[in-house]
Amino acid sequence: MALRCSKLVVLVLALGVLLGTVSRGFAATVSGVVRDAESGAALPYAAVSLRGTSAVDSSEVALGALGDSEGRYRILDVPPGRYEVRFAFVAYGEQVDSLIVRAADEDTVLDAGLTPQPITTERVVVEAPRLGREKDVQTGVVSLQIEQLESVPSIGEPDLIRTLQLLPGVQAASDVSSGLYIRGGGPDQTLILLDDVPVYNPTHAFGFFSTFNSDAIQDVTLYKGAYPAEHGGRLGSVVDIKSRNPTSPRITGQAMISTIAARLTLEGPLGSNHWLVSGRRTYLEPILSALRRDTPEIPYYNFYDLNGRFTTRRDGSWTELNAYRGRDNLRVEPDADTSFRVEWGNTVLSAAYNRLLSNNLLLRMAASGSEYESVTRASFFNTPFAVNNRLRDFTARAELDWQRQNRAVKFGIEASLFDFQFDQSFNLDEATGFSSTPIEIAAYVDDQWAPREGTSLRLGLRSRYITDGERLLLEPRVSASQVVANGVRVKVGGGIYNQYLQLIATEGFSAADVYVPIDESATPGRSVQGVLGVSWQPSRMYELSVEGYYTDLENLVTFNNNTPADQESFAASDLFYTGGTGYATGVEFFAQRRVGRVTGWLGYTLGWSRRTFDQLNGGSTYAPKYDRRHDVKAVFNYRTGPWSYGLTFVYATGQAFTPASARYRIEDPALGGLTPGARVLPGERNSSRLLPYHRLDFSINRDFTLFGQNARAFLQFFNVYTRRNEWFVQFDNDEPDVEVVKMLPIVPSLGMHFKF
Amino acid sequence: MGRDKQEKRARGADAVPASACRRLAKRAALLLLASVLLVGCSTDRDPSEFFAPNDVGTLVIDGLLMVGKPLPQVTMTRVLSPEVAYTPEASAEPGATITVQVLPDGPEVSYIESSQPGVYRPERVPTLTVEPRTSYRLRAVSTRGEVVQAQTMTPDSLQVDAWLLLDPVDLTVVRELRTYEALGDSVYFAPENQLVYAEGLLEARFARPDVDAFQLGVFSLDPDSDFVIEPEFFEEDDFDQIDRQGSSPALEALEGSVRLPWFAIFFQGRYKYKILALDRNAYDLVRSIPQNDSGFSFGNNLGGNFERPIFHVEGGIGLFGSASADSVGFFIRPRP
Repeated sequence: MALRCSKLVVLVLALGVLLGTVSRGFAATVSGVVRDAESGAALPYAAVSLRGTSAVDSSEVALGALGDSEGRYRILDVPPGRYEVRFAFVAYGEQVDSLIVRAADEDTVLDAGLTPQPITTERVVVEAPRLGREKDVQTGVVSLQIEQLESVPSIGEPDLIRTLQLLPGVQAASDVSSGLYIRGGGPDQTLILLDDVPVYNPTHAFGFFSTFNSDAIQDVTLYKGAYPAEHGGRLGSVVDIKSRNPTSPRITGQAMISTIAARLTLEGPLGSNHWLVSGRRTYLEPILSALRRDTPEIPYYNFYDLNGRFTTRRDGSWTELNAYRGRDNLRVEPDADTSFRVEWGNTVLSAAYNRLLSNNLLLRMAASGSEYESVTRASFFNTPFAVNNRLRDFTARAELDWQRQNRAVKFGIEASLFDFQFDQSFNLDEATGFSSTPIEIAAYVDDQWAPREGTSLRLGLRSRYITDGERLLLEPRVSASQVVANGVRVKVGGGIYNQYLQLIATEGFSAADVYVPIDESATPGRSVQGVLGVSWQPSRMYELSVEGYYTDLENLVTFNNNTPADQESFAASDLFYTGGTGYATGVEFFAQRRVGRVTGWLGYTLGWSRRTFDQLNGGSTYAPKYDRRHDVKAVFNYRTGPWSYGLTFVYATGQAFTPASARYRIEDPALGGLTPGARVLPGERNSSRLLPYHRLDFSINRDFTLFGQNARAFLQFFNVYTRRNEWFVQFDNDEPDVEVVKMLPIVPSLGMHFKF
Repeated sequence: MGRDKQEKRARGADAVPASACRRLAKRAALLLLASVLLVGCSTDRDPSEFFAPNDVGTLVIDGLLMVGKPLPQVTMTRVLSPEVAYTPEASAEPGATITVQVLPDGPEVSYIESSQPGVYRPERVPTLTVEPRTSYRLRAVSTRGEVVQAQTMTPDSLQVDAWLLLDPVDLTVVRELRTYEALGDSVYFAPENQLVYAEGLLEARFARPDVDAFQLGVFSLDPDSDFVIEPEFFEEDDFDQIDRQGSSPALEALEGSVRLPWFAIFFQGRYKYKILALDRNAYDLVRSIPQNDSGFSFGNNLGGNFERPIFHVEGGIGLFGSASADSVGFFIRPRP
């Protein structure tokens, strides 16, 4: 206990020293929210500039800021004086307001309502050194607005995770997988956050759909690597999803019906507060029920999501309450002797309080809970088995966000209590499993500085103390960027990352995913990442970038398939092969057209990923199945009048698989001479490749009015030329036959989206 | 008139290329789409593309010593290419010299080839009886001079103390089954050993020997007996795929008891139920070998599960292992 306390003291002191002195400002603050004047919706990342003359020394003042994802902006250190404030946002008309700041300690709230209008190419010039947008200063960052997500063809309906899979460096395991394989890492190496709260199993329908209802999402930011110190816990990357901020001054709604599900979202004001509720549910039951008459093994299946958000804003403070619950229900009951029922899903609750303590010091406090639960009850020819699997994560977090014009420092501390409960019972045996309630305390400091216009430096440190194994982990982070020519920026980033939670995933059945802690019997995985990139913005319309990355991996674990079926130990060293090493490296090219009739991007990744475990492949290095040498992504959207067309094309090197190297026969010890047939001998692990994967998707959207309200109908074709991409291979033991399981053929889907 | 035609032709000469180009472009687009569709469909390829026959010719040893039984026969074969169907004849390795020695300085038993190619048996009959907690070493030399060696330490004897039928609700003992020791082959017809399908749980309790794992084997002894299962979702083909014997994966059985799952029973009639305590070699093989696809498994030979088994054979692959076993016989009757 004494050891734990002393480590905590060291941890907090170290971060305190790094943080330095947090000073108060001595000038006024101008803040507010930039909205769409028609809908009231917040406009994320709007540009705000302030120009005028200081009443203190008659000097010229030119300041600026970018709004955040929820439209909020703050301009700090504004001396008393008379100013002109200009608000600008792509595809909106500029708004100019006059402002008089009378006192140095005055906090002025100035909201803006911009009107949509054709695109102008005029730029808002912000002349003082300022902090850039996240994507300008950080390597490997991609931000997508919900409009971009919805314009991408998908299966059934727009899907956030599937759109992310269309970015360079991001791959999918299959057509039916929502797992994110980012820069050569596995899906468990990506932290997925919904309003800063981890979502542990973000899929529906065994991975076919993600749990994120796009009507309830504002935007998503993907950190493909070298992510900053405010995040932690995964070796590779972070997907940071923000719920949509309800800002509408009246009750409004939107609904969607698609081939598989219906969605309804309502939002509105409640006094000075705002709320949003959104729900989604599948309606496959009637179809499945009709099929089941002749084929009893057709399952009962549905899933649903519920999202809720409530926000208040009062004199320099705002509060957010978020809730999410999603469930999948699957039942297969072909006869009285055999049945299978599984229910799984996530529940996320969070409350966040934000308060401006001074002109340039913001306090954020949050409490959250996230639960992933899966309950399985089955009987196979009268042999029952049951699995209860639950992970809860209760987290409290406080963050101080100090910001001056050209510097921002975040200092945060968070404590998480994990509650792992897993038990399984086979054939009415006594249940076995594990129960563990480790605590993780993390503190971080993130210092972002723009010493001069065009230069940005970001240093961070995350310290983590985990009671399981009494581990103290230090994770430095760094990123820097420099404008080297007009619109050309060089970026570099890196960091050290550790992963304490490990996912045991069942191939093709995400409902059985189990998270287990890396207890004292093993060492958590560790990665050291380095990224170097160049981006070029020749105009507001285009952006091109090249990024090279290298990730060194050690202490990797991978599930040990060779354990006894009734193994009672759930120690990490018994569940996993431990001590693995590896690396992932590659280079990504990305070209994006952001505005205009034709928008979209073109991406190419050249990558390598390798793993080495003493216990696998005879100790030789092998490629994980998601290693891809070439990966091409093209996403285009063309808009003309009420029509818009979406086109995506994906090409990737075939997935690695293990070929059969021989056919032989050994008797089963229990069966002796009655052993049926022969066996195939696996060759070198993942030494062969499936055929290259490629696919073309197409969508047509038509905007129209329905009863005076805006509506959109869509028709989408997944896999237009019905390429039967190979999914996996299954060998016949006796005959030289190979069953190649193919992925999806062409899948059309249609639906309608309308607002009211 | 002729001039009009010429003018029309001239006008047409200007107009035709434009419309023709459009038609051509349209046709080209359709042709492209059709060809893309055709290309898209054609992902079928020759099975040989999934094979990497790098291990062809590797020698395979197969012999399992059972504690308390005579030394077993040993099979020596070579692996075949995955591109051909397996036949014992094609894989047999005749003419090998095989010996099994009791370690450290015990007797050495020579093997001779039986009438089946590649199958070897002890030269002298009766031969040695396999002792518990004893090391044995096999050495085989092929006609080409290749040497294959392996060694096993036999486990303790396994003696099941009681074969019990339990009540599935409160897990109390309903009755104890009679044993081969007590009744010999008439055990199948003992009243205590008459089991109704899916009624109760059959549990074996034993003093757990110091081994890594156990394996269960279940054998339907009446080859023509009827099915005891009546799954509504089975096709005719599904019934054809059901074997009359089956084995379990490796089990730790840390409490010294194992229960027979009803999904191992498909037929009426006599059954033999065997429990094996495995040595390290057999345990490593059973736990690591991709399971036979008997129609009920999914994904055994794919992805991360398709990994080379753990063999403890120098100069080849296979199993030279040992086990001790106990068994019981019973009779399965259909539900009323």
